Amino acid sequence: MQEAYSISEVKGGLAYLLPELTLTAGILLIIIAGIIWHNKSRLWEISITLFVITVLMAGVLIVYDWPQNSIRLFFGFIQQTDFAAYFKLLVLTGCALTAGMSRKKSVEHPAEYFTLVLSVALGSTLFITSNHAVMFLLSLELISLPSYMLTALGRGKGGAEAGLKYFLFGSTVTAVMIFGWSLLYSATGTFDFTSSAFIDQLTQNAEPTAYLASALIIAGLLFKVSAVPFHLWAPDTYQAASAAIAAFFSTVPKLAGLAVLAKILLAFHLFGQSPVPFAAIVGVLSMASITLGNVGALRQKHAKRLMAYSSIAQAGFLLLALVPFDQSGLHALQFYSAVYLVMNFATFYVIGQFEHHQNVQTVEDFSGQAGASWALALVITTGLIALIGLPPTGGFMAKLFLFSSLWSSTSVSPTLRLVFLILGLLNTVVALFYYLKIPYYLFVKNRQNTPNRLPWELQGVLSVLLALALLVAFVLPGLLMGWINKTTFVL
Amino acid sequence: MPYLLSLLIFSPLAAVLLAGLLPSRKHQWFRMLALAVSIGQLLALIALFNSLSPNISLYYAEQARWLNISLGTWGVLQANYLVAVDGLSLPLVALSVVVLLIAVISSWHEQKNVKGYFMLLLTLNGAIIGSFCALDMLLFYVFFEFMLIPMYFLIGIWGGARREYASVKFLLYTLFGSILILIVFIGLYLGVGVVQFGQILHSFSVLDWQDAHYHMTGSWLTSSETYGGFTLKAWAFLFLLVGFGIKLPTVPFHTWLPDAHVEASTPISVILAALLLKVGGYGLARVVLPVFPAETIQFSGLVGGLGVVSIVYGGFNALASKDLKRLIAYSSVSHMGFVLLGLASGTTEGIAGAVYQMTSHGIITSMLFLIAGVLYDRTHDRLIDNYSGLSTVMPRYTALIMIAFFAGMGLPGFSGFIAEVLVLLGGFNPLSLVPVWLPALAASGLLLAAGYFAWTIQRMLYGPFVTKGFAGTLTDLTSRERFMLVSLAILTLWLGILPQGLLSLINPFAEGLSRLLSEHLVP
Repeated sequence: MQEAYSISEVKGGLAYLLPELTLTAGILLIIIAGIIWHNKSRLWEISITLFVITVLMAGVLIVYDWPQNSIRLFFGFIQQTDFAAYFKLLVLTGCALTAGMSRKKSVEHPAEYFTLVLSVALGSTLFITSNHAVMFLLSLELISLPSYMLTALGRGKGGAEAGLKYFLFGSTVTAVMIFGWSLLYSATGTFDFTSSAFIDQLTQNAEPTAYLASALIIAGLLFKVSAVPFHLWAPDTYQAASAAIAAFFSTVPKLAGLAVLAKILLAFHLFGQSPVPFAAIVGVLSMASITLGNVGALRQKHAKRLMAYSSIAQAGFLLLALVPFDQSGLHALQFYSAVYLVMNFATFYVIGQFEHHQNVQTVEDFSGQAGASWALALVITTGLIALIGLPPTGGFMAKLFLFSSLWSSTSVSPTLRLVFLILGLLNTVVALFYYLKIPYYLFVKNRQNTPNRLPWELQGVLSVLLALALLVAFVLPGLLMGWINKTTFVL
Repeated sequence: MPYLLSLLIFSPLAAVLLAGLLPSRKHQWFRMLALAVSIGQLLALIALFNSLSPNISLYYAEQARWLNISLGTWGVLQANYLVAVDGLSLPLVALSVVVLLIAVISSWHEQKNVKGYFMLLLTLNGAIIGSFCALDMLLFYVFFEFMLIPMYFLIGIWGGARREYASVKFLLYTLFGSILILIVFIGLYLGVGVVQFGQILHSFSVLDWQDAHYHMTGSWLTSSETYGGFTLKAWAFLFLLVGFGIKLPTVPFHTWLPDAHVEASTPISVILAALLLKVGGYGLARVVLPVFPAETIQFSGLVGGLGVVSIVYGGFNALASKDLKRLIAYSSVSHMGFVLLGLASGTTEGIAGAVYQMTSHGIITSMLFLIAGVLYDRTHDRLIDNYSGLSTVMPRYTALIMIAFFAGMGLPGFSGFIAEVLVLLGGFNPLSLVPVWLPALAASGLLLAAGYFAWTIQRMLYGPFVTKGFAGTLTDLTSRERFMLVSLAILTLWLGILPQGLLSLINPFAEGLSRLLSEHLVP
């Protein structure tokens, strides 16, 4: 049904868009602040205050206006659901944690920096709710363009190179996706990819071009979540970026891309009527991501590069949650995403502090650094144990839910399911090998001189809180899972 | 005292938190704290034994809600804090308490990062006792995995020259095994459904798992489809066999053990050999046999065969070992083969013998590693050939070596004898599930043990006393070492001369398991 194009529709929709409007206002205010104040230190304080207030307000608004049922806005451009709201909240948490990790000294242009991070946040929230090819592409660009700049911003020559690389990859992928959407438009006659018209058309007139188109679009999203085979940009980008931005890239755009991938895949899946075995394909991609990410990580010497490969492998685990194509799989995805956010940030927080104070770059630089701060050494160990998926951390529960939902799914043949299950879990053993490298150097390797003790600062307190959150997620996973269980996924 | 088990499990973990707050300079405080926890556990254990009521199968059961999470259309995931002890776990819990106390005493002179050392030791303490007490298998798995990381650091930081290689190898092997276990555990809890209040509860309790009524129709537990010639249940059995077999360890998954044992420091070797290996045997007896009785019968030849291969292969390797610690490590592989054989026989004697062997081996191997540690502390040399005539300079030490080695050989009067005889009786029993030549071969393993232990006695203790290849003076046992070795010697003699007490505790469990297996025999 064609909705009436009326100004009242737009006005009515704005009420549901308050978090996004808040973010937009925040972006504008920080830009204005950047014009008014020139003293860097003062500008830093003002920008970060504005940033934190904006993100907190947007988060409160999302919780306050929690969508009880799915609402379509702006002629179907946007659809607010509780699934989307959950991911928006995760994205904003990621932004807040990024701000907590950023340092005055290492950020040269505070106003630009926070504007760009907030723009990615805005792009991500819109992307998660997008329901229409145009909205999809616009919000995707709103994530991508600031990301390129964030990579390069104030990071010297290496940053510029990584930013350019990322930009070239990213713009190619965008072009590919636009091509995909245009093919899909010619096949279905609509841009609204959750509408019944879209699904009916695809079901009835299944053409090879439509499959090609869906492959192109999925490829673009795989690029965003840095999954194999579109993962090559991640290691270079992470290594060149600051620890805060690397942590940001490995969570915020990834989780946004994942939420949309879940939606798109379900649309293409056509409720199981599609002749393309999407479940099996996603499963194979996920296995490839986990395995290549892990194998790649084995050889890494640079801490952030190692974490980039880790994030490729983790993308594989997150993709695995999409294989069941059912509610329980998506609940496992939601749980895993939240735990992933926390464990990744816990690890990056500690890497960032050691990088800043002790100039730790490679894994070997961690030798004997446990003496610098036992608390932080324990935090990073907790974070890495969670990334492996061992108890007593939320990472174990996340993997338990993930593999449980996979075991009880029916979307792929039992043999394939078993292969995914065994291969996925066996990869944990490989992961153990490289994840424990950092604690190994921290605790086991000795150094000649005792390291300077790290000062206690906000970052330290936040890292301890993140590690505690991981322990709580293990002992009381019901707190989060009970909430997730209330969300339903609708197209 | 209803909360004795929780007290046993959580007092060391609480002590870890307390130790975290203490200043790291005060070395003595950490030692005293660990000792206090261990003595407290010993007292709790005595209280526990004093008030055992007969005629029930599970003692001191405690249950509390842990997880109750709706998983959408396929029911509710339920995991509880469910702990209890029975004839299988109580001997092992008692063994753990004793061995951990010995380990604390043995660690008294550890100088390197004392705070971290005792915090890890206490964590390991809680995890070991927890895994023996847990009847909810998610809880078991958590404790099981929770042992890995402390052990990794204990070997990796406080170990010998090749400690880094050994600790990583230990960790990779064990984690590989535990992943196989996790796969089957996930399958089991999803395949077992208890209908309650109109909902399907997917339980992690092993008591539910072993009740075939709860195996959901249409799930893999009731399907007879085959993959690669085996049903899924058979695959699950094999996965668990490998998973727990690595831990036990059985040939061919044993190669981590000599490295880990040789590189670990004395108290850590003691814990590793006396307790961590037992988790493998415990898992087989607790989960694998009761939940997969039909598959146990199907594969009893394989399991018993692996046991016998371990006995013989471990024995030959011990015979060829030049390093005293390596010899003891391979003797462990050999002795743990009896556990597999006893379980595979499926008879009451065999199963009781397997449990008895686990307890007995825990005591004997602790003695053996302490003995190796005594020499290593003085000379930093473990090569058997570098010693001779020790009996002339260390008479007390010689006496205790004799006792430990004779116990290791399985001579009458020592606990190992009772255990091995029971296993062999079980194997030769006409109802046994294993062919009769397997126990016959295993008996030859006893000869091997006599061989390598007697040969070592001859090489190290007799002859003229010469010092070669090492520096340091050989003084006789200190009172601390004497206390540890003598108390363990008394325990092994006690269990060897008066086996009835322990056997009457084990027997109900062994009978129950044997009966369950015989019900699945095709007449």
